[in-house]
Amino acid sequence: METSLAANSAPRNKKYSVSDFAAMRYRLAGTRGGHRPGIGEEAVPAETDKRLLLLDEADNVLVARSRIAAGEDIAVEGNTVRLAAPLAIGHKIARRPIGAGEKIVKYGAPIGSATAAIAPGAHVHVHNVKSDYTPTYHLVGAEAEGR
Amino acid sequence: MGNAGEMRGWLRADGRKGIRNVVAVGYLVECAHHVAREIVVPFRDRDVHVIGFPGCYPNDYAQAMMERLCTHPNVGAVLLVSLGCESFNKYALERVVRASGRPVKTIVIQAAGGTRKSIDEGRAFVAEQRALLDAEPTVPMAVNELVIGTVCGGSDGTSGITGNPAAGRAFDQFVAEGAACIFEETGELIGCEHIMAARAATPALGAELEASVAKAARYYATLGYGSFAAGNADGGLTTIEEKSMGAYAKSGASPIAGLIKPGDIPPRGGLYLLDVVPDGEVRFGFPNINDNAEIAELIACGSHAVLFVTGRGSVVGSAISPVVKICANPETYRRMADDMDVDAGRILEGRASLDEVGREIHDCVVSLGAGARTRSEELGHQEFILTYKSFEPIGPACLPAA
Repeated sequence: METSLAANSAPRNKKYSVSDFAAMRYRLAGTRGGHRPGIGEEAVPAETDKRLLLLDEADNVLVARSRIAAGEDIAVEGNTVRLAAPLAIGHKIARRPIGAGEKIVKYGAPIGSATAAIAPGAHVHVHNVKSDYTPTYHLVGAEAEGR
Repeated sequence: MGNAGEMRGWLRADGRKGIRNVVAVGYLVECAHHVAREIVVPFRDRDVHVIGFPGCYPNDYAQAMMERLCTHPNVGAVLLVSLGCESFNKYALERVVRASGRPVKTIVIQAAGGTRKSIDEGRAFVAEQRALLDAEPTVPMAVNELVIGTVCGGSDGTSGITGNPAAGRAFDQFVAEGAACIFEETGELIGCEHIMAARAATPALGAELEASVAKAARYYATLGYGSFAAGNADGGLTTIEEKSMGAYAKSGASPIAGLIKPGDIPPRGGLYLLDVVPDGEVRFGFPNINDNAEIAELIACGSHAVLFVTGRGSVVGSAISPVVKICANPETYRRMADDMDVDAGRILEGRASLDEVGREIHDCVVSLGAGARTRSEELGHQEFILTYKSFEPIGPACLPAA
């Protein structure tokens, strides 16, 4: 129980200061109020399941705009991927191979770092991503452990 | 829904107008909470709201918050309920309320003779004030007289895609019309500070905005948790940076006119960041222990209404000002439609655009000034919480146009 309740593996003494992220925000800095995030401005990647959203061309993740059942074969930019587990609305999958330590990019901005290599189409979440600021507290998996 | 021409408000002595005419019943220590709660029981659905401060130790922030809330434009009369021995300065609070032109009475339970006598005395005052307020005339009110806050809670992976950017579009429309709009929770802007600073009216304000987020990052790092709940992860959010990028979208795209702190009232129309993280060393625990603490702070800054974007499905409302519930997630909306004012999830299903939902949010707020009530008001939600904090006054760079 203790481990599942614990924050993920990001250390308390974070490696990045707030100012370190200035350079990484290249997609958004300089837009000076012009950035209008949200649906309607996303590029729809070719040969990709229409239930997946690309929020910014720089992103390496796609977001589920509706629930997708486990076992379905879905198209991710031309590759067919079989979903190992159900993908809930608002969750992310990898758009392309992501290496361990690589930044996860969503909305054109880094939202954390991969803690393991992530294959295209694989779920991108607390089990393989850590915050570069404060560890993520979650109860993912805690319910099953308590049984 | 309504339009600007239909809005009417109650004119207060300071020139501000309220879209509600509430009797506020304020307890000044937890020991007086039950009596305050009992006083309002016969007045359910009649705009008699309980607010209060539970602590027995004095706190300048709590004192200022209670002053601002008791003199909020949506408040027409005030009853204060004191046990008698607490340290809250009830004399100062009563003076401030009286100076604002509002009827005010303080019941001291120890002097009144206990619970029953205090409840009877309190109910008599509220009944009398309610009758007077119900007879008060309203005056026309314009959109540029509105102050609107925004908060998100129970966020998930849909919040930053639908509900928050739609709220941002509504903010853009309100700012263009001259209203004051306030976004908040610097702990949920971690990672967005530089983009945000680029939108500041002046470089000096930009530096203040960045400093406020750096302060939040330090504060939360000391506490060991980000402003991130377990349900956020269930909903697909993986890190505080990801949550922040979504939360930041609530601010829209207008230039940022100023940085304020809880209880500061925006001096004019425009977009403001509310810095909710205390100044100085980490004291008193988490900056805001839940969403309602933030809502109370937005209202203390004069918000007539608060936009609340939720993905997982929050049900809360608030004392004093209506809370407009915007549901980002279409599955949640179908499950909890009775609690929601706006279905932003239809953006995700291709049934509406961000601009359309943004206009709907805008019109929903305006309709509140024309007699409409939110779902949480109809359901009787009047949540309120106020805890210990400490702040320094804002610096001269924070309001460049003032």
